[in-house]
Amino acid sequence: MDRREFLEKLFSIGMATASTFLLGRPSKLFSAIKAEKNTKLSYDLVALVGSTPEKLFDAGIKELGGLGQFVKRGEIVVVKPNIGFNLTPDLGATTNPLLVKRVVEHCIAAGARKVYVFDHTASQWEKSYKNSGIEAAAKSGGAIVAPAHAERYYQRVTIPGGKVLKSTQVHELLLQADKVINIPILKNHGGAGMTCSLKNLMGVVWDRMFYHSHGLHQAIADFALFHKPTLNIVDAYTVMVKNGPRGYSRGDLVLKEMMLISADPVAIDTAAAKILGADPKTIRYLSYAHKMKLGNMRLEELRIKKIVVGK
Amino acid sequence: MMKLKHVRIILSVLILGFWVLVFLGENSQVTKLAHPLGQFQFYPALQFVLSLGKIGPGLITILLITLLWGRVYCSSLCPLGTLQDSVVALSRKVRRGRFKKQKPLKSLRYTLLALTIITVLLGSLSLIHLLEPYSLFGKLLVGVIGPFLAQLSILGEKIGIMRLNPGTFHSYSLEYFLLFLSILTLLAILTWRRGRVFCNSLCPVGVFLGICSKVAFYKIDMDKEKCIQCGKCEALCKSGCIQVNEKEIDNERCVRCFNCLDICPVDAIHIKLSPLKKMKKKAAKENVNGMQESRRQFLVSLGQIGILGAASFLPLSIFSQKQGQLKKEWRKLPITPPGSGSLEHFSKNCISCHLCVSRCPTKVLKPHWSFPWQRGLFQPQLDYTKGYCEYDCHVCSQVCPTQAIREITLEQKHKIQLGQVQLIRENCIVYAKGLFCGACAEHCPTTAVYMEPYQASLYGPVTNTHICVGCGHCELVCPALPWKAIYVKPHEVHQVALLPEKGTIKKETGKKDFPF
Repeated sequence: MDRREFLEKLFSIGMATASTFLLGRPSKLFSAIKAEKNTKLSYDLVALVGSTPEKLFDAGIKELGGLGQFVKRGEIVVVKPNIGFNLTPDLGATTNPLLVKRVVEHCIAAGARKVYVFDHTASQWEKSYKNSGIEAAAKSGGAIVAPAHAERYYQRVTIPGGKVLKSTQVHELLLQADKVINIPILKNHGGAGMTCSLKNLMGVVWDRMFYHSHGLHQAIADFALFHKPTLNIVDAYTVMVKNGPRGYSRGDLVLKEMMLISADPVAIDTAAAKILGADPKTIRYLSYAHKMKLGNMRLEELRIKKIVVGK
Repeated sequence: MMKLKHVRIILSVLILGFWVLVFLGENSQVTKLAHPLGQFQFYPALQFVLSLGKIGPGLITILLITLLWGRVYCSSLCPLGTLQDSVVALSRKVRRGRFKKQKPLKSLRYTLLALTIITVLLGSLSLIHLLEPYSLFGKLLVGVIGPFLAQLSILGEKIGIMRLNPGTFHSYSLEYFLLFLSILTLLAILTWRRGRVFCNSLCPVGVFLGICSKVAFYKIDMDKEKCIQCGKCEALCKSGCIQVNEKEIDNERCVRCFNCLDICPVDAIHIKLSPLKKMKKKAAKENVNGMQESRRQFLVSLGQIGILGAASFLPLSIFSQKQGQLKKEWRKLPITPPGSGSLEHFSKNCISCHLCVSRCPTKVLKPHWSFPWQRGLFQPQLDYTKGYCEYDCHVCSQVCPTQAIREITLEQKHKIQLGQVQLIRENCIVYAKGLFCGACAEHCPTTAVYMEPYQASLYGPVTNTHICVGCGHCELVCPALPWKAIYVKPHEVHQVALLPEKGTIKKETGKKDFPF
């Protein structure tokens, strides 16, 4: 072939390749991702009290055999904190940034190939990412902080078995991840009673208003049917006991210096509700999730390790 | 010794670059300079004086420069001028064409300027918003270039080659984008073929500064004895103000680009100090010429301007404010930005440059046509269908060049009530359908909307209007269909929002046991 033909062929191959990227990067099949039940773990729930979130996490994850029990070498991990509002961390509405950094560091030490951090925030996303301190902390820990503020980052999935949530749009990074580490901050919630592990997952979907208009509690439980995180870490260092989930001032907070770690989101949320001072039975999504066998509300049946950490 | 035209080019490119960064970038250092440097744009500086009653240094400087050297502003300071110059430069390279001398069109120029001033005095800013160069520049950049760059960066993000945050660029509705695109195209075509014809016929600032130029001290003068009428200067002049047949340069239309100074093969064109006596004689000569212009042309121009003027008062329904899930009777007045103080102050002083629109991080500020409350074209309003006003943000007040949005601190902003929250229980899915919600209270920054026990374990929203700031976050997130259950009712004059007391954290670190 002559030069012209060669260049023409090269150009058309190039355009064809480029256009495949326009249609979307190739990703995994969008089937429901379920975390395997890890019976190798010594405990179902670890509860800690008495120190800063990073130190509590170090002590707690050790009891479960290290984060290497959950994250394997070469895996893509999504760390999902609560970055919901444009507020500084001292106001207790967003996950402690140093905790996020520590979790990211553990993931990388366990051999994760990539660690992504994102949240579909309630307030303006750039300000929330920045002022919560989570963007800077996650980056310094080695994570890639990703945007989640536009519909183009989300892909539609179906939820077989969902009662009100039969289909929704989920962030593409969650669909691509091998493992998901969920780090909510414990707060009361005006509409749902409490926001913790199960409710924190609302930050990976695009249309949150759908939950509110079709049955908030059942929708939260339905989503857990679609996706159960690999591990949940509840930041209960400061707990927002009124005016949640945004809160108005530090007067809405109680300093408890606590943390919960568990792979069972229903169990961890039940224990968290008790820390919050609420009766778990009044938080309907917990009962729904328990009935759907997504976890166990009966804490007496679980192996719980309680640790008091000295400062 | 650098040529004058090179000085002009460097200065104008720097200033154009600065304003492009201000309107399209997100650097906060650059933003801080927008306010002081905006004082050196003619109309913003003038409006600043009218708005706050303080004499700004910028206006005096511009007038002084013009009275000394003529329309230096038009080629060095005006970003729309520099933009046109780049089109002219490209046109020359591509077309290799000549510019022709142009008819002075005095009747069109002066009538349009007079009409602009009269309509402003009567209360309509429409002609300013359409023709004033700084404001037009802003609208074109934010309305056309911005969305275009946003689409490019989204594409780049998909291919993975860039992460030029596309969220920074504003996205208008299709109608506004198409409107501003047509204006940009029209202007580009005009400039491509006729050079600075906009600056000498439509631009009120240009015409006004041109009149000042008449009495300027330094003028560009053609030495009639030296001139050999080769026509090189006339072909070069982008204002079409050089008449080789009469060996004259019309200083009123000259935009001081200084390109002609070294094109003359016999060096006949120079800047000369022009004493008053000569000016009076020249002025008399020009007046005679002006009156000799045909009356027919005058009437035609008057007719065209009349249509334009009348159109400035007409409502264009395709641009009328869409209220989404709000019934029209709930919100008739527009909501103006915090710092504007009142609808009156805002619409009287906003020059519709869209700088606040481009800077708003939540994209709640959007240009709107809401005749008759607004006095001009596409002044911004807060639109709660797609955005809300972020509680801890005051960027719009920091950048507004005319202080239509007066600069406020965050503490001051928290005490401003743009409007009051209104709850419609019949539409609320908690009260009307027994569903769990709380989206409104979830997002309220002041607890003006909060949840109280309603029935069984259901909680329902309740409002405290005294502490509401009118940010619209509740309205934005309310899922009720077809009509919202909560919205913000605007204040024509902004009120004071009370601040709830802030408490201190309670400590329970003594307990070392768990409640399970």
